[in-house]
Amino acid sequence: MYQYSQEDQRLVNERVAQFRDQTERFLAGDLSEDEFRPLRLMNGLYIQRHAPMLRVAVPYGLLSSKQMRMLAHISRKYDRNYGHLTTRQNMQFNWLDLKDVPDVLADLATVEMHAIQTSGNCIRNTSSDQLAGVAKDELEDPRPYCELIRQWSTLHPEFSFLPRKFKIAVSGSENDRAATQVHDIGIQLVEHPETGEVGFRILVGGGLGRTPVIGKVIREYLPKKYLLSYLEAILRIYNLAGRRDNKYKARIKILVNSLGIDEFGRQVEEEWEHLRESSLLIDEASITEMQKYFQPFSYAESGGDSSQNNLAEKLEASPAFAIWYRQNTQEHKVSGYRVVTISVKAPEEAPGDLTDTQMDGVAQLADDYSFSRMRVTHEQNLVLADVPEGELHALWKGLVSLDLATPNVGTLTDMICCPGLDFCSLANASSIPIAKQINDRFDDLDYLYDIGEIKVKMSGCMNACGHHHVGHIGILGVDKKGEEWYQITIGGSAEEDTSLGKIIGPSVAKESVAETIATLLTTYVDLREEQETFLQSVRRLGVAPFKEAVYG
Amino acid sequence: MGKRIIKDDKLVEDFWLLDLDDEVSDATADRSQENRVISLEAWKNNRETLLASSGVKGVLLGNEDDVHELADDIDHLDLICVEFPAAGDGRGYSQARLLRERLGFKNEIRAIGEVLTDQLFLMRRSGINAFDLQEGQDPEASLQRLQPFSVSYQ
Repeated sequence: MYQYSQEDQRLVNERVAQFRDQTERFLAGDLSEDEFRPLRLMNGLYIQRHAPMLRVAVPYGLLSSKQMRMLAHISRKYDRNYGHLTTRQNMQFNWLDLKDVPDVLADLATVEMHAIQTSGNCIRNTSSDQLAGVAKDELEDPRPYCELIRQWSTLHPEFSFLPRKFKIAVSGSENDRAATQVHDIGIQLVEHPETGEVGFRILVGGGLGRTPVIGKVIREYLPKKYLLSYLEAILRIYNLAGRRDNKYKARIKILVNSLGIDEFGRQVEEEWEHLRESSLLIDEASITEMQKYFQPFSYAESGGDSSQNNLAEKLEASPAFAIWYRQNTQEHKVSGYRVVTISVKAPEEAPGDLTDTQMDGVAQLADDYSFSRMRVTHEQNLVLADVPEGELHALWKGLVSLDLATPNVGTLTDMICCPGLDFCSLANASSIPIAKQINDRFDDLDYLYDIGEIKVKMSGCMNACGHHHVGHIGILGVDKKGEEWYQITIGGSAEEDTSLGKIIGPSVAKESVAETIATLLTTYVDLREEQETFLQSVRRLGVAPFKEAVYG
Repeated sequence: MGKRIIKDDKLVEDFWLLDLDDEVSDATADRSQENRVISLEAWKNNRETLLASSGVKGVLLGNEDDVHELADDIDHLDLICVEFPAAGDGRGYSQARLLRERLGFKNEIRAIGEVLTDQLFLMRRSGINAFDLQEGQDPEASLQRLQPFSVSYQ
């Protein structure tokens, strides 16, 4: 895991001091509301329905147990004993007092954390694969590049007031778990077709929101050393030419679409010619240096020998453990270890919400069983990436006692869900109560297992924070004359086969959402071919039979 | 008395006059005493005459103007104003960097428009060395906040 240098720490400390000064001036009346707004937004602070919401950056989702304990502390001391995991792998707090925020930031700085650029029209937290470094299908660990991007983009003087927010994701695997095709810039580690040397494929202009667009390849192969100069060229063209007259047309996807990818690419390449050999060049040594922070742990030799652990016996003895093992753990690149997904989707809780006790508890479990590290996933769960098989049972018991062992990862109730109308001042409709409705309606786990892998993603408004366009089932809250209605899409995906969901018909009433989903699932069960997932069925059959079933 | 601006990290009195009439009807007149800043359009329309004059030369780059249009004239200019019509409109940061790094402009780059205390450090780091603060911004308070950071990644 990356460790701050003295300079990194100084920058974060100085950012705290700067924000403290800005907040004090605002509270003293020296800064107007209008002047303060962009300043607080640059630091992840929104004014929401009830109170300011602070979004804390978790770079590429990676947390140490020490950091997790600090998040627990913050939720206890300054908030209402919980935090919310976001789709950018961050954590946000919903009930802070503005006057406390500088102290919160100072506390965060003591564990190498901050809230820099978690909102505002700037380069946001770079997101990545939650299985980075442990996935079998990985070409190379993407996190060193995420960290290089984090540093380059932090307080970048030229790109702090872009036309709109800017999101970058990096994936090191062919199986894309970082949704790179729906980011402003998507970066995929690839091998050069001839030399085999690892570099990057660069996509640009993807994104969700009001106008969902799948990113286009701007460069099939970029040598590693040019990563930052190429990003700078893209950002500069966008900063100068992106629309600023209408915030709904200001994302880079609109510019790329209006110029066409060829012309946009030509402009970027022309700009890049001037920058490529500049000080942005990353030498081999810097990459190696950065990679040192993300080396595999020293995995125990005995971990690989299943006769040394009693996993098989434990699985045999406890059906509940066995179900959790099947549903919430997956293969690790080192045999004898498993990757554990901690479901933060207990049926009675808001998706992605963690209490202070759970945060502290998970931190302890990470210390005990997973090298003191954890990851936040863009699907709003946590991952303990390096658990020895022999410790899985003990870990599971610990998770059960924290109410974090719901064996529903990858199922219908493992939903992505934005905070919605309950918290967010942008939302048109609620999300959390719909999640509750779905959980109440589908409380039979065996039925969920029969349905198999399905990704439900829900947003309370067009801004699409819940990624509804790329849900196998997408749910979008809309306002109809002051009432909450929900538009349903099917067939979306955010993975390597990215597609945008298609609307099945007129939006449905709030109380009918779960029933509508039930109808879609019944249709799937009736029509599916052997081994076919919901998504595959929708792709084969199209929307028609589902629409017919719902609307008659 | 002229207006005070921040230049090279000090408060100084300004001697430039902003003239945004594109036509510059009297552009052929002797301008050596005037210290006027004119639009890029006016500069282009009267380029030959202006280059021949002995006076100081200032151009205002609009938000949509292409910096490269000044490439041939860069060594003759004393001042280039970069406009921030709104604090959140960040095009001027790219324009300033291009002026310094691509065109090698050495003289004054001045931020005008909605130029606020808390943005000066970013502007400064983009190569802007003079700030015509928006009305209501405290120049002393701004001076104190020119360098909130002692380290940077870029």
